[in-house]
Amino acid sequence: MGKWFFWEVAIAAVIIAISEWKRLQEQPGKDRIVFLALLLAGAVLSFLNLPDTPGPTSVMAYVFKPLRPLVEP
Amino acid sequence: MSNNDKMTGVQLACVMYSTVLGTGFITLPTTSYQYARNGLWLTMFPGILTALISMGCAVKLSRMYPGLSPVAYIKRILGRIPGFLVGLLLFLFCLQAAGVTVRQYGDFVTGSFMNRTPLTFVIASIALLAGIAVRCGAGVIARSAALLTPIFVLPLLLLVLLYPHLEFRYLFPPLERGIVPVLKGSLTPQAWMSEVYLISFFLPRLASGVKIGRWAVASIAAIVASMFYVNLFSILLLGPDTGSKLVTILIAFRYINVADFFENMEAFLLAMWVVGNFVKLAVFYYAASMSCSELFRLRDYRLIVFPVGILILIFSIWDLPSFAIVAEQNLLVAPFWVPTMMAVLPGLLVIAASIQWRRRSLQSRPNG
Amino acid sequence: MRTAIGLAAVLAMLAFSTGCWDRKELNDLALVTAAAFDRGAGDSVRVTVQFFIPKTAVTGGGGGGGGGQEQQTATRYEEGENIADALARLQMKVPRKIFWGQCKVFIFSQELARSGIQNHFDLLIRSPQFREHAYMFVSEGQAAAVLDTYPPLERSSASVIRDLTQLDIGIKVTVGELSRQFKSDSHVQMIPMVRILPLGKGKRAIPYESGTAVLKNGRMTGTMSEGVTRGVMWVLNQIREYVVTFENEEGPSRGRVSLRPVKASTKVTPRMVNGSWQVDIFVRTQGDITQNETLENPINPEVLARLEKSFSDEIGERIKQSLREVQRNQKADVVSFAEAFHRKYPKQWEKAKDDWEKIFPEIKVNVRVAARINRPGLVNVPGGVPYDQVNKE
Repeated sequence: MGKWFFWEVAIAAVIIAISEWKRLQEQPGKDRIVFLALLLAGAVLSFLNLPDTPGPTSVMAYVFKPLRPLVEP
Repeated sequence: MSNNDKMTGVQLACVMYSTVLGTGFITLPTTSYQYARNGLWLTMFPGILTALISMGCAVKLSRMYPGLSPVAYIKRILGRIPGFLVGLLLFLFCLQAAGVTVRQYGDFVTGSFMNRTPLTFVIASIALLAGIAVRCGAGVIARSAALLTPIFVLPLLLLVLLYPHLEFRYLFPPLERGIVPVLKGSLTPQAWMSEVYLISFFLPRLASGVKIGRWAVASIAAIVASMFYVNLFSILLLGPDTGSKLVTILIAFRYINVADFFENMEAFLLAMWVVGNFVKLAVFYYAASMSCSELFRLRDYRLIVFPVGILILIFSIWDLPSFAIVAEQNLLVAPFWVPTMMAVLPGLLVIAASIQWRRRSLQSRPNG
Repeated sequence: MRTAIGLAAVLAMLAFSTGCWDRKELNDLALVTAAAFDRGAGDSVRVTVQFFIPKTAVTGGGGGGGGGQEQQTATRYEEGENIADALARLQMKVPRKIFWGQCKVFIFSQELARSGIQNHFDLLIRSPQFREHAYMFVSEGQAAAVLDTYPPLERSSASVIRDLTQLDIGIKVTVGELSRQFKSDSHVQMIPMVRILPLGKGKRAIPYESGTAVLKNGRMTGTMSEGVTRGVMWVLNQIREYVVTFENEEGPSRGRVSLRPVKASTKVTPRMVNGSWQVDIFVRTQGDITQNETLENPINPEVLARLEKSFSDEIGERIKQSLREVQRNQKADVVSFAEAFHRKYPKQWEKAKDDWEKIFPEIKVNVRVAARINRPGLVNVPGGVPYDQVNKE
């Protein structure tokens, strides 16, 4: 992945922000905050080396560990 | 919303069908075979129960809270803060499930057909397409599902051409090691089938007078029948070799050869599975966008569709370093995690909601 | 009346545009497909050109090169004081105008390359009739011999080497590319070597690319084997689509595993640590399993992690070996470390650039590889064994 992914996401985020700009002006402040927060979250996450960053998969593997004996062949 | 945005029963059924089987066809036969061996053709039947629970809860809740989408009624049932937390969990679930869906689709396409295309490009292009559909609204997703599902299903008929290669002896001895392996093998399919609950995001847009129950049962029946058909053909064609294949149906299609003319059918398979995965992704995508919008009570969910799309892309690679992890996830985690969100949670919601209704009616009686 | 004149004019123009002029034009040209440069008698240079024989002319007989009925090319040669002189003399022997627009291959013989190609190369980039996109080669023996082969599958030996080069297996150097290499900080050039692969008896043979010639300031000083060349390509970030086979050294079941296609991206970071020159090489690479000789099931995350470790060790080892050869034996900076240092440390580079040949072999290189196996192919467990023999954890 590397920094390429970050730039791809960053450029996509900028394009989205520009193309939604008009619509954004018509929305209440809370909507704008949520919109920007989501884009920002995406950009920040894409900065990490995502495939090797512990995240949802690890959390779920941990939560459902007690049930594993049921499914392991 | 115009009248065009009202969904019909057929559309509803098609949405459910593609939602379950979009990636189901890719993943389920191989995963189930690990446990069930030649009992593979039975593994989808226990899933009917889960599917009916999910479906029943979705319909029940939509009747109790007409016009509300899940996160909205979760907030109403559980109260503000617990409702927000559960809603957030549902949002994250949809994001993650959408991410894994595109990841499986992308791995399938790049691994089996387009070796040189970068995975992120394949994923991003279908996500963009789905994003546009989601932005256009539930009606567009429903209509494209109705339009595309036949294309998605038709290639399966080609499997009939395999009949000279089928060996019925592969079915014997039946249930060699008892019923337990089959039940274990049915855990992943039932998880996939519980995803019919996502229909509750579409029910508020259903045209009035549609007999939901009938269409729901029809679509569940179609799902089970398709899985049965595909699993049966897999086991009859490949026998004990089924478990070593990554995508069983792909191998089956590569076998098709009629008079040296009908050959290399797998290209069809790719072209047609794109549409199935598109519908599945669009449904999860829509659910994620609606959840997020309801969570923060936004005026218009369309504003956040593309930002949510970026998050889906991130969830498609986050903490999923390799195909082995994705496979492990499907085998060991999804059988519990998906039904928790798609069957258990709706079940609890129905119970909580009924208690509230009864209490309310008891309170209102002395006054009235 | 006016219509009639118009119609007549149109008909006349149609008659002229039926292609007679074109045919005449083409018939006046001799299309060169490749050119080879050898050392001639004394100080002279011998130029051999390969012509394409149009289909209609094939029955009329070949050229000076060799017999055979199916061959679609012919060769002719001439000696001269330099290439331009030889070409002028050659034109006297060829009844048609020699046309270079289609010439995609230039071959220097090893002998000529060892005495230096700088003076000859000037012509190739100065004269507008030659194309910058033509590929450069150095032949092991006589360069003319490469053109004098008649491949069974392709139209000409020139198109064989060109097509083989375009598969991106070895390095690929065009005239324009070589021109840039001459101006590079390292003063080192690389040109792929061609050899002749005989196919039975007669002239049915094809040329193929094998190894690389290393030149310093246009004078060939050594050759690199295919293995070393690939190691260098990893460092130069030129690995496009590639097969890697490695030994699975971890875990209970040994055996070879092959990956295809392998993609890679490499980052070279120069560093100055207390006055010593160092380079960090970071390779990110990934591929799909295409053959698995072990008894391991790669669908298991732990097994996969072991395979990935073996894979990255293998790549790291290859790169280190190649760099050892390049630094110790060739002493030639084919990996363009000079540019990297020039860009990052311009001041130190300015002082050191005249001693680069001494500094380069002493550079300490740290190689780090992040390898990933993307997909297992169509099956998970090993293909040729029953389930119970598959290694279970």
